Amino acid sequence: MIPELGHFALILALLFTLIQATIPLIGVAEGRLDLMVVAKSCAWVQWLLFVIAFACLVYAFVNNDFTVAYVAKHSNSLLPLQYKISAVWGGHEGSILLWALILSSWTVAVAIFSQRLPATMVASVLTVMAWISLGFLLFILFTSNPFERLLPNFPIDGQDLNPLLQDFGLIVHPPILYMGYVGFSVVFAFAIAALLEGRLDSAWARWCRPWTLVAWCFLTLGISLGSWWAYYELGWGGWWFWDPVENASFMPWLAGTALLHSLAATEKRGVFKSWTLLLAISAFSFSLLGTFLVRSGVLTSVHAFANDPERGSFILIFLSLVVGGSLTLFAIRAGQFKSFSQYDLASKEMLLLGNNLLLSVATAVVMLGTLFPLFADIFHWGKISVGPPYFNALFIPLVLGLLFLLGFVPLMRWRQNDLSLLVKQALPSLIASLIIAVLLPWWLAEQLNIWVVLALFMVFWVLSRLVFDLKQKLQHKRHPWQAMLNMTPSYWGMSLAHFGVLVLVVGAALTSVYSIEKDVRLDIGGSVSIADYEFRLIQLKDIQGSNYTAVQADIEVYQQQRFVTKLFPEKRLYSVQKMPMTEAAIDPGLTRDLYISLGEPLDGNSWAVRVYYKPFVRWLWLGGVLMAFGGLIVIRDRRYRFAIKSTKSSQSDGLFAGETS
Amino acid sequence: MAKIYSIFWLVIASYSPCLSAMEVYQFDSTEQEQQYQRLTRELRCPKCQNQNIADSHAPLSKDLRQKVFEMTKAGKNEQEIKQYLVARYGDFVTYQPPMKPQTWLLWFGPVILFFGVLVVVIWQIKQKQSQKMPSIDLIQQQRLEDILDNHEDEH
Amino acid sequence: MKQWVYLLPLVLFIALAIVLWQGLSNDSRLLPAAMLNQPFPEFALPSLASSSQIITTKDLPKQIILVNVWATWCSSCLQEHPFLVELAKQGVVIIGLNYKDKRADALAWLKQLGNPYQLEIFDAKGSLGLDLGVYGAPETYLLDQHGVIQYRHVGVLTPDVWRQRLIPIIEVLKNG
Repeated sequence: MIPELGHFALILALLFTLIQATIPLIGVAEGRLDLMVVAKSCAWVQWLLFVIAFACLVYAFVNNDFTVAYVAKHSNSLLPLQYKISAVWGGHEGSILLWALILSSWTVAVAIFSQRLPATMVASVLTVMAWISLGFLLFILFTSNPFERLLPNFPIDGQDLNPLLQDFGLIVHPPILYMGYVGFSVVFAFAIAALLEGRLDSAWARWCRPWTLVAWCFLTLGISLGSWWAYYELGWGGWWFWDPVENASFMPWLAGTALLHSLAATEKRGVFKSWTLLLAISAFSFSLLGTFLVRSGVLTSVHAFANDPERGSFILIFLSLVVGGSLTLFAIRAGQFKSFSQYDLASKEMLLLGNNLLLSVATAVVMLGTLFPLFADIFHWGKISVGPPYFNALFIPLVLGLLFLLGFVPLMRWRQNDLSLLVKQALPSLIASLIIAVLLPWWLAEQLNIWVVLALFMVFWVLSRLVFDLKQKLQHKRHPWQAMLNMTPSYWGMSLAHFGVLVLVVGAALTSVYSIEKDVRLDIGGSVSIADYEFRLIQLKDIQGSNYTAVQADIEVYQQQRFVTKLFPEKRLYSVQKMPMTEAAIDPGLTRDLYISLGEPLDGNSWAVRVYYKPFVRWLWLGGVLMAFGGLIVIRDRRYRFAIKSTKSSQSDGLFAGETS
Repeated sequence: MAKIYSIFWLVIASYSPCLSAMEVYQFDSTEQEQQYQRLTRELRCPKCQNQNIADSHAPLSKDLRQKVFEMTKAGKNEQEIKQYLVARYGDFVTYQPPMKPQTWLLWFGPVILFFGVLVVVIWQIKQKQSQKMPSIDLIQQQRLEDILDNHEDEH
Repeated sequence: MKQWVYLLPLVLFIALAIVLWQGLSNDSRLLPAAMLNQPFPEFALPSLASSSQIITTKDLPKQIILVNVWATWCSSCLQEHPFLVELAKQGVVIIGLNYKDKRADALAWLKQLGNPYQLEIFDAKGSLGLDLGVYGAPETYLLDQHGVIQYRHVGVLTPDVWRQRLIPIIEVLKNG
C-alpha cells in the first residue's frame, strides 16, 4: 500500500507542477497578481508531495519490502539500518527522486526568501523551476519509477547494496552534492526571468549572489567529500582520478565559480551582464549534462550507474529542451543588456575578466577531455583514452595563472589603477615568494620539483598579498581588533575562501610529488619501513560483520622506534554480493597520512600489503572545507539581507540602490 | 589459524576469479620501482570501466602489470614499454593521448581558445576606451563609484 | 558587439547535442584491433594435447583461417561453441587458442562438446593473447593466406556476424 501511496504522490506532484508551470505565466502576461501567487502555494504542495513520496521509499527500505523492485535490487534484510536509509539514493531511481526532492526544496526556499522581490520576478523564477521539475517528474514516472512492484514473484531477500556504497560516504556525499547541482537551478531560473523581462540591474545580481553562493558552497563541500570518500574507500590512495563522473561534478563547479566572480562585477559595476547570464545558464546546464553523462552510459566510468539508453534518450531530449531553449532565448535577448562602464586594462574588472577567462578555459579543458574519446569514436578517429597526463598538463598552468591573478585582488581597484605603482607594490612580494618557494622544499625535502616550486611560489605570493592587505587596512586604526571585527563578512568570507584555495593547492602539490608507495610482502612478525616509519604486522584475526566476513590485520606503527599508532586494515567478503572489499586503515595527520591496505594472502602466513606515506593530503579537503565555509560567511553580509528589504527602492532607481547604509 | 584463512580465501577465490590487485615485485633499483609505479598508473586496463592497471583487479591487468614488470626489469625504458603495449592494444591503453592530427583539437583547442579570447577582449577594451561614453553623466557616475569604493574599504 | 556572438553558445550546444545523440547508440567498450593488417605474432607454444608438442607460427595453415580465442571459464564461449562446430563441418579452418585455462578442463570440454579446431594452441599464461591484444574471451581473428590479420571480432561469433562481417571479407580475399 505504502509504495502505491508514494507513486500516487508523485502523480499528484506532476499535476501541481503543471499548474505551477503555467498559471503564474498567464498572471505575469496579464499582470494579475492573484494568478502569480499561485506559484508559491503550488511550490509548497509540490514539495510536500515529494516529501511524502520520498518517505514512502524510505519506509519500503526500512521495512524490507522486497516486493518493490528497487528495494530488492539495492537492499537486504541484513543491511545495517543507516545503510538501508542511504540505499534509498544508492541506485538510479532513488537518486533521481532525491534530485527531484532537492529541486522542490530549493523551489520552496525561493518562495520563502523572496517575500520582498517583485512579484513578477518571483512568479517567473518559480515557473522556470516548475518546468525543470516537470521534466524530472516525467522522467521518474515514465522511465525510472522507484515504486515498481515485483508481484507476484518477488524475492525473499534483496540483492544487497554494493559494498563500495556501504559507507558513511554514501550517507552524506550524494545529498550534499545534489544540493549543489540542483542549487544552480535557482540562479538559472533568475537568469531566464531576467531574459524574459529584459531587466538586469545590480539588484538582480544582488538577489542572485546568495543563491549562487549557497549552491556553490554545497557543491564545493560535496566534491571535497567525494574526493575524501574515494581516497579512503577505494583503497588506492588516490584523491582525484579525472574520471568522467568526477569531471561531471567539476564542470558545474568551475562554471559556478566563474559565475560568482562575474556576478560580483555585475553587481558592483554593472558590467559583463550578458556574460553573467550565460554563466548562470551554463552552470546549471553542466549539472544536467553531468546527469546525462553519468546515467546514459555514453562514457565509461568506474562510478557510473547501470547503462540504459532509454533513460539516456529521455535526459538528452530534456537537456536539449532546457539548454537549447534557454540559449535560444539568450541569443535573442542578451544583446540588449549593454553596460556603459569604462575600465582600464589594469583594473578589478579586468582581473575578474581574467579569472573568468581562465576558469572558462579550465571548464573547456575538462569538457573536451571528458568528451573527446566519444568524439574520436563517433568520427572514427580511433579509440583513445584521455586521463590524468592530459588533464594535469593543461589544468595546472591554468591554476597557476589563477593564483597569479588572485595575488592582485587586494591591490586592484575598480576601473583604473596606476600600473607603475602596482608593479612597485607587487614586485617585492613576488621576488620574496620565489626565494622562499625554492628554499623551503630544498631545505625540507632535499629535492626540488619544478611543480612544487611553482605552486609554492604562487601560494606565498597570494598569501603575502592577503596579509599585507589586512595589515594595511588596520594600520591607521586606533583599535585594530575592533576594526577587524568591523570588516564586512564579504571581506572575511572572500579572504577565507581564497586562503582555502591556497591550502588546497599546497596539499595537491605536495601530496602528488612527495607521496611514497610500496607494495610488500608481510609475514606475521615482519615489518616494512617507508619514510622513517616502520609498520609491523602483529597478527591476523577473523571478523564477523552483520553482512560480511573479514580478515583483519593488526599493524603497529613506529617512528624511529617510538610507538605511533595501531592500524587495522581489513579484507572483507560481502556474503550476498560475493564481493571482496579492501578496507584501508589510515592514520591521519595534518602533515602526513599513513595509509595501509591489504592485498591478497600469499603462501603461508604472509600477505601482500600496500603502504603509502602521503604528506599534506589532508590539506586538500581542509582547503575545500575552508572555501565552502568562506562562502557561507559571505552570505552573512548585510548587503544581501538589505537587498531583500530594499527591493522597492531598487525597483525604482535601478543601478546602485540599496547601498545607503 | 592458518587453516581458517585458507578456507576463507578458498571461498573468496571460488567467488571471484580476479582477486589480486597487487603483487609483490622485487626491483633492482628505486628508479625501476618508480618507473613501474608511474607506468602502471598511466596505462589503462582495456577490459575495465575506467581504471589504470595499478588499481584494477581484472586478470588482464595482472598480466599487463607482469609484462610491465618484466620489461622494466629487463631495462626497457618508459617509452619502449608504452610503445610495446600501444602496438598491441591501441592508443586506448594509455591515458596520455598521442599527439597526432586527430588529437590536435584536444591538445591545442584550449590553448587557441585562451589566446583567441584574450586578444578579442583586449582589442575590445581598447576600442571601448577610445569611444565616448553614451548618455550617462560620467562625472556623476564616477563620483558615485568613488563613494561606494570608499564606503566598502571602511568596513 | 555584433549580434551573432550571442548565437554562438546555441550553435555550439546544438553541435554537442548531435554528437551526444550519436554517442547514445555507440558502444564505448568495443575496441578496434591495433594488430589489424599486421602479420600474426610469432609464437612457440605447446599444443593442448601434450606439453611436449610445440606449435609455432610456421604450423599455421597457409590459407584463410579463423583463430578463435576461448577458455572453459568463459561462459560466452559455451554459447559460441556449437556454431564453431558447425562451421568446422562446413570446412572452415579454425585454430583454437586456449587462453589462460587449465589443460584438463579444456580437454574435457572438447571431448564433451566436440572439437572444431584443426590445431589447439595452449596459452596458459596468456602470452600470445597479450601479443594479439586480447582483452577477453571469446575473440575471433580472421587471417588471410599470408598470415595477416584481416579482421577481429570480439564476443560471441554468431551466424549473423559470420554472414554479415566475415563472409564479405573472405570473398574479397579469395578473389583478390
